Amino acid sequence: MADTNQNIAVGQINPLDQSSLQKGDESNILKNIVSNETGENQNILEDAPEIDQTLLEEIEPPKSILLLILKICFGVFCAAGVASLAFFGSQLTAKLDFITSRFDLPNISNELSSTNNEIINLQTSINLNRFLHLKGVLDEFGYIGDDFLTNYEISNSQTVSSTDRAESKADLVKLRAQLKDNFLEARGLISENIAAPLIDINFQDTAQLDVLFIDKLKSAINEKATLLAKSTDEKAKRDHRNYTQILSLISNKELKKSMISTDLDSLSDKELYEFVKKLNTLVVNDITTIEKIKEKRIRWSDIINEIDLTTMAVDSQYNEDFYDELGGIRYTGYDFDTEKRSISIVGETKRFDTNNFTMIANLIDAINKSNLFENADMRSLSKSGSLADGYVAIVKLTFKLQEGKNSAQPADESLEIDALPDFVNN
Amino acid sequence: MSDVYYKLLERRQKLQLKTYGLLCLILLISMGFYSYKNWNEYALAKEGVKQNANFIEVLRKQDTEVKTTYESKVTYFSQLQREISKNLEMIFPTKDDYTSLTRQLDAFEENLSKKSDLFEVSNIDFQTPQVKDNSSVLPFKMSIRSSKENFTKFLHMVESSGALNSNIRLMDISSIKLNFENSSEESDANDLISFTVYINAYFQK
Repeated sequence: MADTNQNIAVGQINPLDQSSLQKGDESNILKNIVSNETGENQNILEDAPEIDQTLLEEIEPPKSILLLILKICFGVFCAAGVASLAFFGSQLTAKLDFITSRFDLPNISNELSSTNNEIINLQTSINLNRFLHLKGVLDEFGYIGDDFLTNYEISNSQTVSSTDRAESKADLVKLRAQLKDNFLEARGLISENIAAPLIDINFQDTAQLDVLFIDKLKSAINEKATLLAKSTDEKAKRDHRNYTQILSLISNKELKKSMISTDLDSLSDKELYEFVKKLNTLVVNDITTIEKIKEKRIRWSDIINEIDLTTMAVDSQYNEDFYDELGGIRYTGYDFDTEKRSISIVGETKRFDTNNFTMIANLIDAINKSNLFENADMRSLSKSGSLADGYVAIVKLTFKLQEGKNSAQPADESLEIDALPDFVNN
Repeated sequence: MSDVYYKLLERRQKLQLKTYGLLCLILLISMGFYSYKNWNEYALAKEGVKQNANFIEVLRKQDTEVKTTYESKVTYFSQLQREISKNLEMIFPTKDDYTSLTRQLDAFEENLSKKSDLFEVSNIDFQTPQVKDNSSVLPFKMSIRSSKENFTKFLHMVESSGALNSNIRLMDISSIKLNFENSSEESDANDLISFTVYINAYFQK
């Protein structure tokens, strides 16, 4: 019972207060009360109960609700963090593929990558067929273009008969229309984008995309070409050659630029002639090799005609068989060298006055004024004869063809006799 | 002693409060940032997949169209290439083929030569073939006696040789040495030209 009371006392009084009361044993107030009431050394109250300190050790501060909430929050956040890591790890990376693949769960990153690959494959297939088509159209353009070049040269040649010239001019009109259709088709094909847009952080730049799709197309073509490389079948050989020639078309920026920037309708025949020749240098096919050879050819018929015209400007009776009667210039031989681009002419001048050397000097000047020739030179002059029989002077001229001039210019740009110096016309 | 213990517990509780509070804050911020960033990426990827799916449909149609257009012309292109190859075989053969060239030159002589308009090839001399940059060359020399008109026709023939629809072997004059016979006093030899022409006939490498 005493224990119970003690416990009650302990329960009712704060143990800390109890400890301060304990100190109060020594207070005077309590001493006086005890001494006045008894007058003896007897205590009214029993001895103060002893407090069991071990019990106090089990007393804890009250639980904090806030702490509890924070602990719960922490747990929730941890769980959410793990879930977030797992979710995004499984969706955006391949780290958890071993789990997602087992349960057949989708991975958005893989899906994106897979759809991107499908786009690349489809665009490569489109590009392949488009370039095969372009190759065919350019072959046709080269074929018609070859005919156009030949007819243009004939129609502008000063040595071809007028009938042939008229036929060639008529053909040029038809060929021009065919070239236009062909050109527009080729332009439509080449101006298409080779790259398709991809949702991929690595290919945000257009140049990078172009490189990717060009590489893919080249790989696809090489793959097809390799399969046909060893075949002896004619069609397979032709297809193999086509594939290898297409490779040069794929990244041919100059060809694309030329085709996109050209308006065929606005070109004159001469400009179209130059344009076809330019395309022949940009495209690689079976025809372009022979076009390159033709491009270097010199039209000697034009050169001989130009020599005749220049000589006529000096000697108006040239080629009219009046040499013996009236004098003039007569050639006995030509020597043309394509590699050195040099021309040597040998002949004589006959005059019934004494102006043989003036005639030769006029001839030298006329040749040097020509649009085709340069460096005509003859520094040693001699003549023989008499005023009665006429004086004869030997002509031995050597000169060169101007660089880049392999034929006479079209009629509108040819040598104009009226434009020559007076001494030539006289 | 118990007082100290109580205070210790109380302090620990306060420390826990602070720690959990701080941890929750850090976790919330880091998780929020991570989730926000990745959610954006995820949302973009999801939108990308959706867009790609639509784009793939468009590309499939385009692929079919391009393939159909090409296939509708492939036969024509093959025929054209066969024609080009056949013509090329004539004008730019795979070997020097000097016998065909000889026949061609002979046919040309026959076509031009008339009693009134002379064209006589007295000599053809084929030399050793040479290899050049993109082609091979068969050089040959011809000695010809001809009227001036036929001489010009001969030059035209060589100059327009190699046209794809002409079937004349691709040639190029490298040199001409020419003498006019009208320098002589013989009236019947008027306008006759004797010339030696050096020609390159091309063939594939």
